[in-house]
Amino acid sequence: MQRRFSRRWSRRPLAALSAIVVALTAVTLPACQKKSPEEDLLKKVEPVGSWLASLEMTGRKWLANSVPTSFAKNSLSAAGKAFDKAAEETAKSEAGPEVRARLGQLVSEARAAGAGLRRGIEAGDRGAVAREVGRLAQLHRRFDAIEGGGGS
Amino acid sequence: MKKWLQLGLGILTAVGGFFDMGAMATSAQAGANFRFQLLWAVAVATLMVVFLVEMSGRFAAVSNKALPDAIREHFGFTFWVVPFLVLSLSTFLVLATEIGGICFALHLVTGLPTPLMALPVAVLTWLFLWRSTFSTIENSTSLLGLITLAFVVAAFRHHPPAHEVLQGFVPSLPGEDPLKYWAIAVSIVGAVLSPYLFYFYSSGAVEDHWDESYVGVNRGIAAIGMGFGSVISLAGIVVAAMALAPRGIQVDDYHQAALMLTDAFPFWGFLLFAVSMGIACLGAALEVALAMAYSLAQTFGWNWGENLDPREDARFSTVYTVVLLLAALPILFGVDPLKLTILAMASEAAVLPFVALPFVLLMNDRKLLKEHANGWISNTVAGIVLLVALVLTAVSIPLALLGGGG
Repeated sequence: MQRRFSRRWSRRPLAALSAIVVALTAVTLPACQKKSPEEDLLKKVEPVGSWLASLEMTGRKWLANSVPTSFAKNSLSAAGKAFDKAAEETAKSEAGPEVRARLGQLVSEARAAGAGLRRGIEAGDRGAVAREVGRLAQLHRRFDAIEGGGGS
Repeated sequence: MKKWLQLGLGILTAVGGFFDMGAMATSAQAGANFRFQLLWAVAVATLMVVFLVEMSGRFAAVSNKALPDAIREHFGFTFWVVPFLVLSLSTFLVLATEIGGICFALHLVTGLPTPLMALPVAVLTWLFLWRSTFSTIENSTSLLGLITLAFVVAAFRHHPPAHEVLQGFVPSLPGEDPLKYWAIAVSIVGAVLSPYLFYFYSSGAVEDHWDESYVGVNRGIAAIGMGFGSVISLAGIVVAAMALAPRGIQVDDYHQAALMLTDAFPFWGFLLFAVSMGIACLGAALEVALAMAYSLAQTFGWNWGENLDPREDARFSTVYTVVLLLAALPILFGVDPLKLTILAMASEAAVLPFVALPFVLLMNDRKLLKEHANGWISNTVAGIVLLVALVLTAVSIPLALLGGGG
């Protein structure tokens, strides 16, 4: 009795489950929407805005002695990778030249601000760090403006 | 009173299986991206996990058997082999994630590269498992896990707007970026409904020698233990919503999440985050490594038990030794812990129905569980869980790819 029960259930529920899962996945996958090149580029460089805000916060927290120098430097390295990736995406994007130029310029300034923040932190120069924090805040506002305008 | 001291098992299961690397990541991403809008996902998942954990504890208390053991005995090896393989694969990814979490916590404190920590962390975790009894692990993790309450204190210190927080418990559609919203919602449910969690809990109940007299206490332990994990996850969302979202910080990397507590605790916040992350992930790594060893030993009918000397259950001890070392490899080779977490959460959501179905079938066996078999309330919730699990399985991987899990 137990064996028959076991045999019956060993084939049916898992096979039925797999079939349902495959069917549901097939319905879900086409949900991928087509975007314009500008929208696509803005989506890909979205982390730049988040990293600008993070570096600004990290700089402020470093000034307030809330985070250690090693953390600030490691955050800058992680942000650097995100900026590099954004520069790559901007260069190979099919978006209009104006959007690419604006984003390219912003990413390049973000890299420079990051480098300035790193120099200030390494040198323990609080004035320089405060200046770079201000610059990062300004860049973040500019990024938001580009994003809000859909790249235009 | 003695029975209520078993609350440690509930809190260990919660610290390890509920508030772990996955929950930290998903809470931070949910709060940073959608403020309080995804609180409902944690609440729903908590309700479901309380029922599942209660069922697995009840099963172990009445039958004196852990789930994989019972499923193999009851349905046969052929039936169990597919759920066992998918569970093992997904649990292995979770273990790699938790090791990544401990390494990242140490990286935050020391500044040393994360990959450098992978092998020492795996060896120290193994040493802890090798030398400890189940109750040592249970009690130390529960006690140390209390540090994660820092998130709850931080949430109160931010004075979040009560009406917005309450609104977050009502499911709503996002104003923008629906793919990301659903990807995070699915990750939250996947992170909470970890399939290994209720399998582990049943093995833990057997280790703690539960019998039928624990059925009532088990209900309280499941609710309080999972409730503990839930409150911390909810607090994580609130803190991220108050500290990260207004600044426009999303969590694309764990360095960004590490800033979460620094507004509420300007001096200690950074360290509290690192220690909470380290302890939560250590608890989870211990639990997941044990869960894998339990599952394999019970599947093949080997001797098992964390309370036994490793010589008495050599194969069981070998399993957790090997899986810990293997799980350290992705981090050693530089895989990003956050990407690994997203993959692990998606895989957990994907395998859930395959693992939950045999469990629910077994819970209805009146020959084995007698009057403690599932009633209509438990079966209704189990049915909902299976339905949700099916949907999760179908959407988790595509959403993780399209929405990036946040």
